[in-house]
Amino acid sequence: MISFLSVSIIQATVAIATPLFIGALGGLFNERVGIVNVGLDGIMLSGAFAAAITSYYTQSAWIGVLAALMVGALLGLLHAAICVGLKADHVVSGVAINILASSLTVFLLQLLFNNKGQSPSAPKIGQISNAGSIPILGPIINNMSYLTIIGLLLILLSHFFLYHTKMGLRLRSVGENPYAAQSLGIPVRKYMYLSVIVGCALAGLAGSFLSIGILNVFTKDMTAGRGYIALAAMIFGRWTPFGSLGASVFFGYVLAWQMNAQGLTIPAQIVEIIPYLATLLVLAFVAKRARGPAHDGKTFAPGEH
Amino acid sequence: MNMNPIKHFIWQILPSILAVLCALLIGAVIIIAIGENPLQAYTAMLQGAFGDTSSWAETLQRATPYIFGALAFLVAARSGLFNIGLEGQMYVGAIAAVIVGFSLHNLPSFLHILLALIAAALAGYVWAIIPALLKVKSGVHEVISTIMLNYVAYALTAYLTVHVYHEPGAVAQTYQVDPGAILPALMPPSKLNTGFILAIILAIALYIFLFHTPWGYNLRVTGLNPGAGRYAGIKSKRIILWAMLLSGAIGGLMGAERSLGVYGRFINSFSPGYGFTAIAVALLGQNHPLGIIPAAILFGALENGGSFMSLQVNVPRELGLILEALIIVFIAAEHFFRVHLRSMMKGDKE
Repeated sequence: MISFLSVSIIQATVAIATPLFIGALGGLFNERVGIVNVGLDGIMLSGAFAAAITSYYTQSAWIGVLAALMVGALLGLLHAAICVGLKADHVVSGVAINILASSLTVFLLQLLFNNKGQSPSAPKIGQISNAGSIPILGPIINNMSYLTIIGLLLILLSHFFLYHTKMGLRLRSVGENPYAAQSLGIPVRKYMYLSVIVGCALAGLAGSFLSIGILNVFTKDMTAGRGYIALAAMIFGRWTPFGSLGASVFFGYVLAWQMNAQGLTIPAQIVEIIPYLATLLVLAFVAKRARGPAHDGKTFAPGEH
Repeated sequence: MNMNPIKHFIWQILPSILAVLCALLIGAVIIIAIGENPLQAYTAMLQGAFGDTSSWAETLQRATPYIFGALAFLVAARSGLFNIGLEGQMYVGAIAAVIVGFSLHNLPSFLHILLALIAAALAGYVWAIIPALLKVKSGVHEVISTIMLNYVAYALTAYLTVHVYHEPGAVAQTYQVDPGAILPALMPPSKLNTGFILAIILAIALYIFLFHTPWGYNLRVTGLNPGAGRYAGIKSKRIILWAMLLSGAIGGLMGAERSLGVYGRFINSFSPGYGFTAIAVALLGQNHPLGIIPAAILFGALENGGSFMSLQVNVPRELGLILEALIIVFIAAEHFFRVHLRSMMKGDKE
């Protein structure tokens, strides 16, 4: 008997979805100011690394999380400097960040621990316990990581910020038409820099969940393309916080269901295709409505325009 | 600007050379930071990459997928497309070549290899049809669609390897190909194979195509300015479509060279990111079919020399990969370099 809904499937869905929706939110803050970031995967990897080794040295998971945020922000500064400051191609910068992250993390693993595969085990982020007796919600939130809850709050906060504050409106206008935004006196570059830095810090946070949220170690190339699934979730969710959350939960559910469905005749590889295929289909058939910010991926170059 | 050819050439390659020098400089700072001597490390790297004929062979072997990949990337890039889907096209190409390689028997070796290569090119071509059509028909950006297709290709080839053509054993790999389908080695025991020669021939052919035929001219004009091309009667959509398909086919060949020339079979997730690093090689080579050859050899040398260096001094061999990433960062800033160099040169004249 194949079960479509059980406590273990729900808990696995949450665990898989958490780094996806936090990462997707990070991608969203990049793309909403018109900066494409395919380096999301590398930034998540760096965040995972920073969180694990900081947690190991300080014996505090929360300082590890802080380190992940900071490393993410630093890479965001690099990405913004390349894309906005130097007006270079966004995708090229993203590719560079990915290669840098995967080589630098292994390089540092080797230097620090004389081990190319993984870090020593480190304290992990806490989780809700003893909630199992609460009716209905209990089994779902029991064992839920605190980071998942922080992530959900961030989704709410981001939605409020983007759609119900003046700054949020301005931020979105930068991604739609930076020249018009500039003519209205909005400091376009400042918005771009800050939003990319915040977005990449969130990607770092998403990474920390992989190393010290689910597990308690960093392993080589542990993101295994989750940054790209997060990017897919952002697109599938039409560049909105709630949409990204919904898409991440959907992707998480599909993958969790496959892991829990033992004796199933559908091979794992076929199920793994679903998030990517679903995103492609959405793009292909509802592309006109599923457009991202109008100035996404383009260089802001006043004067040369 | 009217410049003589030599000046023009130097102007073309200057940003690449500056990018490499800047990366080496930062690499030196990293080496000093971990308490080693950069001169010693770089000497060891150079020796490991070019010290004798066997190290040359290994360097060229590592450069081969980057030549194919960079050629694939630049064909698309010259038409204005960013093909970040080389990994996917490479994987489907690699497995298609292998399926032809072990399914057919008793063919003359030349014919068998030719058929396997055609299968690889076709597979890469098919893999590029989807993003090409999505781009032309629905306006879906190729960066997104090709990234998605990379993962579809990873999963599809993993499925075929594990569930359909699996060779019994712990490793996720297919059966070996027929001996006749193996690309002959050039300098055994090195895995450098005739795929390298094929890559060089392809580079020359693409150079002639892009710079000495009307089709190549139209392709480049489309990439520089689709609007202007339309005024000149160039059908930019059709050109974009064909450039992407050609790019995918070459991406397929990149996979065939690895599977037929190096492994003799398909190994699940064999690529350490060839398709992404090839983008860096193409950019370093200024998206020029002949420029990417030294760029690919440099990257092959960084990786091969990096391994040797890590045995000589206490620097992990990943330094070679870090240098690659730094080179892209500086290449990304090329626009900036050019604008400033130009204004500096103008300043000198005034």
